[in-house]
Amino acid sequence: MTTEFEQFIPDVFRWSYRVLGQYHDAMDVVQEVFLRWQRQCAKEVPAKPRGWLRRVSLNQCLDLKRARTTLTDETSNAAAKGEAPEVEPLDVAALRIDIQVALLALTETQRAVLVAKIYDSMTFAEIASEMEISIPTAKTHYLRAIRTVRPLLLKKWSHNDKNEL
Amino acid sequence: MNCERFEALLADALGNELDPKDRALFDAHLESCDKCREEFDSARKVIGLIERLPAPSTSSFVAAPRAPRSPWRSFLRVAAVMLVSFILGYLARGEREPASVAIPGLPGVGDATVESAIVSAMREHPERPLLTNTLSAIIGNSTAKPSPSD
Repeated sequence: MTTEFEQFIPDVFRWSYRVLGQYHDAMDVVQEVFLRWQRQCAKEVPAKPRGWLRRVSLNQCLDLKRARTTLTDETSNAAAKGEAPEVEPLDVAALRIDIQVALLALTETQRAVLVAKIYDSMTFAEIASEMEISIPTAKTHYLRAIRTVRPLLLKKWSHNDKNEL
Repeated sequence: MNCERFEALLADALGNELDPKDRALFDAHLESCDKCREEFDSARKVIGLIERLPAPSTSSFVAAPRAPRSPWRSFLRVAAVMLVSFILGYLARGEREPASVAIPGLPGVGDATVESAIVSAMREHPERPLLTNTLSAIIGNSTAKPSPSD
């Protein structure tokens, strides 16, 4: 069970890091997801493990963020561990927070489809297969996800282009 | 192409999966319909923003600074190793030499692939369940060293 999970560790870490932007937070998510994987496999091994892991990983990322509500909290947590907090440009950090808030507004499936499309560059056919939904449904989720997060992100970031971040 | 057809193709267009023939019609409609063009452009902006969040790079991960170890954490780690050694030694008591439970040199975070680097890094934190299992597997696979002949 551990070996099977280990093959997915890079994916879980990559999704988590992309959403959280912190190495240690991403590692915490990997740990938490592994525990959930063990519990799930004790009942029934997911038929599509990668799809299951993506959904659970994203949920865990957002749960972690909910638990740590401010950047100050993150800095304090890092200091308590004796670690230097990872610092990224303020604009990227601000954008990350806004994206995290936007992702919270989505359903679990919409979130997973959006991440699969944008971060994993999967086709709709691949997403549909992995998530056991139809291709039209995958496309619908994708569009709804974009339309849901659009007002949340463009309210503040509509004038930013590549050069500004 | 009308707006209804545009809507049907929008997901494919945003996902870069549009057929070349549909692409030409789609682009032509964008030129002629302000509402659809605004819809497409704003959706593209959203995708662009989400893409902006950086992915981890293998090299940056491998070179990630390790957290300075607190003395208490180091003490706990040593105590855990000693306890395991004692337990295994007790279980193997008798004529045999106690099992030598030297934790093999754990692979450092220097492997080329992200996967092995992550697994290696996680093995350095035995207080975490995943690593406990992995560490247990390592200890479980350790064999007793034969006593040296005189």
